[in-house]
Amino acid sequence: MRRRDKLRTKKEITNVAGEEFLKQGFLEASTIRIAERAEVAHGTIFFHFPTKADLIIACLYERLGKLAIKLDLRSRKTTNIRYLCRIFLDGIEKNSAFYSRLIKDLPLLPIEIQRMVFASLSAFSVHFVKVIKKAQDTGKVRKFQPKIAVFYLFGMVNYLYSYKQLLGTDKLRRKDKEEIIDFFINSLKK
Amino acid sequence: MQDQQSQKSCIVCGMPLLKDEDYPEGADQNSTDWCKHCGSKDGLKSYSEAVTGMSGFMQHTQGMSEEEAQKAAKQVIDNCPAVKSGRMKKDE
Repeated sequence: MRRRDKLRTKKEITNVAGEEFLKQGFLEASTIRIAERAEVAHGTIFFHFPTKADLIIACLYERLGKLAIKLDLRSRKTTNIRYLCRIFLDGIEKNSAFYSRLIKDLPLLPIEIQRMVFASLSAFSVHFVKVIKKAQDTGKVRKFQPKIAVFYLFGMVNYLYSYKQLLGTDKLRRKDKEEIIDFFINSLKK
Repeated sequence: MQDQQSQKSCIVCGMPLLKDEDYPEGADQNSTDWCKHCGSKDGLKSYSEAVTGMSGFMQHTQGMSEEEAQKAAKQVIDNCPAVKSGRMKKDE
């Protein structure tokens, strides 16, 4: 019973924190306000999440953890980079408000928080690196450091979601997304 | 990514332990809560090996600089369940 209460409290804090991060931004969101809204003592936040970085990462996983697992499982069975790109773009789109806010605020956060969040984002990039490496080994893709492709892919996605409103990112049609993916894939080919 | 829910994940790097191939070779999955990158069937890697390994991983997958990857890896590992519970000693 106590373990279930702890898990429930943790989930409630994560949900509320996610909403506050969206509304106030990652820098401005206050753990005091999160505690009030989650109806817990302020100290309870730090019991479950010793630092703000832990709370941000918990929210990131809450919203995007399933996407990371989906990329993981698919990347084991395929060398189809296009397919992974589609999964990634669709997953980010479903959480576009959160992702937009995160990538806009991340450079403003203390470097210690940036490091932890960046480290967590390896949970996405590793699967692209894996699949690109497999495609290189089978001769489908030219030889280069796979992380360079990650720079381009994430750079492109982050651009789309940093300027979501200006670019109308949420209104991109399937055809537009496929063209974006085509461009990326063609840049990898021999 | 550290798991916050019931999904089993590595107590060092947070990698979800989804399939047999994620565990160290020969490990008893019921009693092993680390991945093949963070230990063997006989136990966890040392703290310095874990930091070095994770630093390399971040450089390779995220393009982080060596200096920042080392700092990030140390931060992640210092906060991981394995270190916090004392199962991985920081001064090893």
